[in-house]
Amino acid sequence: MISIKDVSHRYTAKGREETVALSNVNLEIEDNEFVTIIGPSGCGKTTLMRAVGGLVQPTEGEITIDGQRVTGPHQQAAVVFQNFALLPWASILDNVAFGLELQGMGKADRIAKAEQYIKRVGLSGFERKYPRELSGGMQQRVGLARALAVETPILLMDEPFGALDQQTRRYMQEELIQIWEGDRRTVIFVTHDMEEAVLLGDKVVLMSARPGKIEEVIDVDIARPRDPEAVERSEVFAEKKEYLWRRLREMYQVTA
Amino acid sequence: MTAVAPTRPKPVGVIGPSKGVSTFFETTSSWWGILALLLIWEIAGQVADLVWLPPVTEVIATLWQLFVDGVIQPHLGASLWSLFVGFSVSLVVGLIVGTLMGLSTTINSALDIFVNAMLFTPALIFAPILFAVFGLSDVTRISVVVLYAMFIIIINTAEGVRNVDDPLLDMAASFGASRWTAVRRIILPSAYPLIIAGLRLGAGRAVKGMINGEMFIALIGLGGLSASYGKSLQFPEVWAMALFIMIVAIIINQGVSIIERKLTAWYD
Repeated sequence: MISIKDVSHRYTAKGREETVALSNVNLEIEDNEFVTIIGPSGCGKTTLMRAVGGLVQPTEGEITIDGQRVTGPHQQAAVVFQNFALLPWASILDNVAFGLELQGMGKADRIAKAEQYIKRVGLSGFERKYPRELSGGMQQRVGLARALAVETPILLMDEPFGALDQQTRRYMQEELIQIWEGDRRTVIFVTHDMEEAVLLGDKVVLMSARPGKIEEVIDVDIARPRDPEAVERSEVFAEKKEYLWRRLREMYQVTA
Repeated sequence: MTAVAPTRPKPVGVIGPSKGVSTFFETTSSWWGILALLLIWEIAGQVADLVWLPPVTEVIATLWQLFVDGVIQPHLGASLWSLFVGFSVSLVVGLIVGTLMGLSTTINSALDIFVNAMLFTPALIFAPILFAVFGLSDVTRISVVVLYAMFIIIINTAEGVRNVDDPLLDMAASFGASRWTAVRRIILPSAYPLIIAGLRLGAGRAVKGMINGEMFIALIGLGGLSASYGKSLQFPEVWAMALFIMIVAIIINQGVSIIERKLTAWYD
């Protein structure tokens, strides 16, 4: 279980006023839960996700994972990045094995494991290719395989499909649902796409900006396994989406 | 700080596709151009009959004779030796200092101005001082080579290290990479193309440094031999040496370009 208690985070960029990225955030995430975080830009959703990964040390409060306090990058979580963050000079195989390599796994083992996850994300046959030879969607599959391969209980996804075109994004969402339902982990998925938030999440965490805080946690009571097309036609989906939009519109009226 | 090479290095003196079929014929761009120049040179030399412009046939014959008499070989050996040692020293020191400057803003602001000043200062200015300290030993000539070659390697390496893609560092950190691992596995590989470009430019400057240093001391090496012919106004020999040094420079440049393309094949 991930437990976020009274977490606030402020920072001062050079020559700027202090920014309050997070203000008094409390949240509990159960094991194997899929949580999506949505909110206007500047609401600190990425900061919150990074804090769980130990990539940001909040100025106040604490985050614990199964009772252990997060003080830096740890082996409980792996990150999927919006810009893919692939090594351009390394093959797909080496990219997927990179996390395993940093964790000190021997060569034969990590290649076997990397191949297994390359297969799982549907990239078999591309092991010897380089990132520049792949489309954006395929590159993000590599990023996903790399994060899955280290087999951490937690997966942190920072707008992973935000850089993809709409069709590719839609397709990747379906694939992700399928992969995750076959291999459950705790997922924190940051997005700015309302449909994505509802389609994927067991819970949608709605945040507001300046200062970044949690407005509401919305349960998405749609059964698993989810068939994306059926979900999109369902009443619950339309209802949740509409509710999210209403809440987000209120926020924009305040800030815009 | 000036970035002296483009991010995507284009080999100097290479015309046409920079990859794939690359032969000496292609890279010397045009045998016709060379042939025409030699012909003009020959005719001008024959017709004008100037003491400082011997016909090319005479120059080539002189060069041949220098080889037959075994005059040039020991000097060539001495030159290549100081080039090799000087470039190796520049490589090691340049990579280390450049990496440190790229990683640390403190080290960078301490050294930046000197490194840039030294890049544009003709290193031969320091030759008398080196001569006073090291005398006629190889160290004097090697030092001149280092002063010519090292600073461009430092600057390119530092620039490459500084330009590392931050998301990649972030990614490595998320998988628990230490600072040293990040340098080894992220920073240096991404600086690699600029570093290699720096090495190629450094190699060219090293050749210049080699000849200039030798000409200053005027005893040893190809430059030394040229200088001594120059003093006694033996123009066919001066031309022969100039021709030979150009050929050596082209061969070295070609060699370095081929190595560069092999090393950066992944980068395109």
